[in-house]
Amino acid sequence: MKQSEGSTSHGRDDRVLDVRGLCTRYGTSQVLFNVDLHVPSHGSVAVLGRNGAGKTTLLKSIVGEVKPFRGAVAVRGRECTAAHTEQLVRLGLGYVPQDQAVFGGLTVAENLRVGAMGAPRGSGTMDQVLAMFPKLGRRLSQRAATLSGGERKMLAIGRALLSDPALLLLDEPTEGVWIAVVEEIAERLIALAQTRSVLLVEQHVDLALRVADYAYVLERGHIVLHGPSDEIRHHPDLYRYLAP
Amino acid sequence: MRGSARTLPAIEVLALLLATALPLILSQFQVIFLTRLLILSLLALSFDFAWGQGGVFSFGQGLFFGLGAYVAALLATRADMTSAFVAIPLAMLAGLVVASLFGGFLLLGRRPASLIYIGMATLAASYAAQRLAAGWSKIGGQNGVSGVPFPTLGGADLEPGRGFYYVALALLVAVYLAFRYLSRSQFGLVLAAARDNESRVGALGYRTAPYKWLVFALAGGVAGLSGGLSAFHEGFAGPNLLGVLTSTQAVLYVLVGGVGTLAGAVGGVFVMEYASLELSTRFASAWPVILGGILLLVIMFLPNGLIGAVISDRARMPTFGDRRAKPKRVPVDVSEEETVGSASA
Repeated sequence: MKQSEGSTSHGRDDRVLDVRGLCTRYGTSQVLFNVDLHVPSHGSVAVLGRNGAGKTTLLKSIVGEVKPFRGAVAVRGRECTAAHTEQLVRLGLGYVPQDQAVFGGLTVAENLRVGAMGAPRGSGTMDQVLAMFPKLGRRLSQRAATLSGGERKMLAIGRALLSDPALLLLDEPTEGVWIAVVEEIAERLIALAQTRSVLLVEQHVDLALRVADYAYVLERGHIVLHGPSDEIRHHPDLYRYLAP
Repeated sequence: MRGSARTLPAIEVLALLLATALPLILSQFQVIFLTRLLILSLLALSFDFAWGQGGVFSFGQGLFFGLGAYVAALLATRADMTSAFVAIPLAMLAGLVVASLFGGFLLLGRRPASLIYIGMATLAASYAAQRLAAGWSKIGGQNGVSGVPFPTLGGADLEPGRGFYYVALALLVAVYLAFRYLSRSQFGLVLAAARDNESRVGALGYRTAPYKWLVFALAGGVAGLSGGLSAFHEGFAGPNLLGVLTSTQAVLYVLVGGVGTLAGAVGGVFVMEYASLELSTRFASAWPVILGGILLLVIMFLPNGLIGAVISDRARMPTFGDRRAKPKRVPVDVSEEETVGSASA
């Protein structure tokens, strides 16, 4: 476990995502400072931090929604710092954003269909997604805007899975979700993390550390702590960094 | 209570039957008037496809309409090319090509233009084209191109009347069906998702700009077709056809009829033009004010247009995409269902 802003390697060579020295700002306000982060091709990683620490900006910088002014992002060894989100999806990246992740005016089936159409050949099927989130199967003809918060998150995750991504980026997948459904989503995420790499940004610390093998803690745009989840969980400074 | 999903197809079929039968019982004047409405319906459809389906606020459809009119008029008067099989497709092609180039500039850049920018840019282009045509003496300047001969179809003149009416109706039905098919296809599904949240469509692996560009180009082509027909029908092409008035007319037809339904665009043309005709005969000087007031009330109290009064929002939304890819329903344990159903955001 390390408590610095230096190298943050897992000690694994086969990385699906490599973020090096990432710096991002909105106007004149810098949000991320030299962020190094790596996700191995097998395993899951969590990013923790209090509100405003820069977690969502980090994911947006990785997927190309926000352009970093310094640093590099590589997916499966390919440099793609300036790439558009759709190009990254073609490289094997799936992204579930925090807000407005589903198309509210379309039905559940149409949301899934539009996800399946954009997926590369040989990707996952809708039936596999419905097997993972069977509750969606009862709501296929329902407009996504009328779903509960938990169902919307399930739909967004399921739709991202249709492209069979090598790396799934999840931004607060349990935010605004009823507590009983949080546990259900957590179980699915743990199962997902067995089959592909997951980069999870999450406020629920226990859930994140259960899902992820490795965790980073962001504090005001700096990586202040990182290491295997079991060690992070017991780190004496963890809750100091996460306290509101 | 507003209609079910079958209401819209029923309206479409009924309208087609009426449109086919009416010329047989109407006077020549009325048929010519109806032909004009069919031609304007093509213009309205072009705007509805661009805005209602593609989410591209093309406030300059007059540019492509007028361009098509000038191409047809100049071909007929200067090159003696009156064959409907040549002049009208070339008018359509002119609209398509110019819209492709203009749309490429607006939509395919590294930073695609915003909705407002597209609206302002297309409106400005429409106004600039009007000014250019008005000042260009080689194409008639302010007087435009008049004395456009009748188009020929199979060696015979196609004079305004029943013959022209059925040609215009056939073209309108063909364009309507093509747009209807596209808006209900997988292509339409991506556009519907993009209208909902464009950045999220990118997260699914799509680049939406080429989709919107194609919609804009096709809409330009149909506006050009409409303009070409108009030049032959009215025997005239002038600078005003390119300008702000024509562009605004297209927007108003669709706002009044209902955006994104195609049928609403056609209905908007018929309601507005009939209202104009009736009001102008009864109130010789005050009719534009009265018509403006009525349009304002419709837009304020029927935000989904006149068609929204008879068809629900969901009924207006088509079933999209490849039905072969429809997922299977998965049985769910009822107790689990209740748990999720009670969850809230």
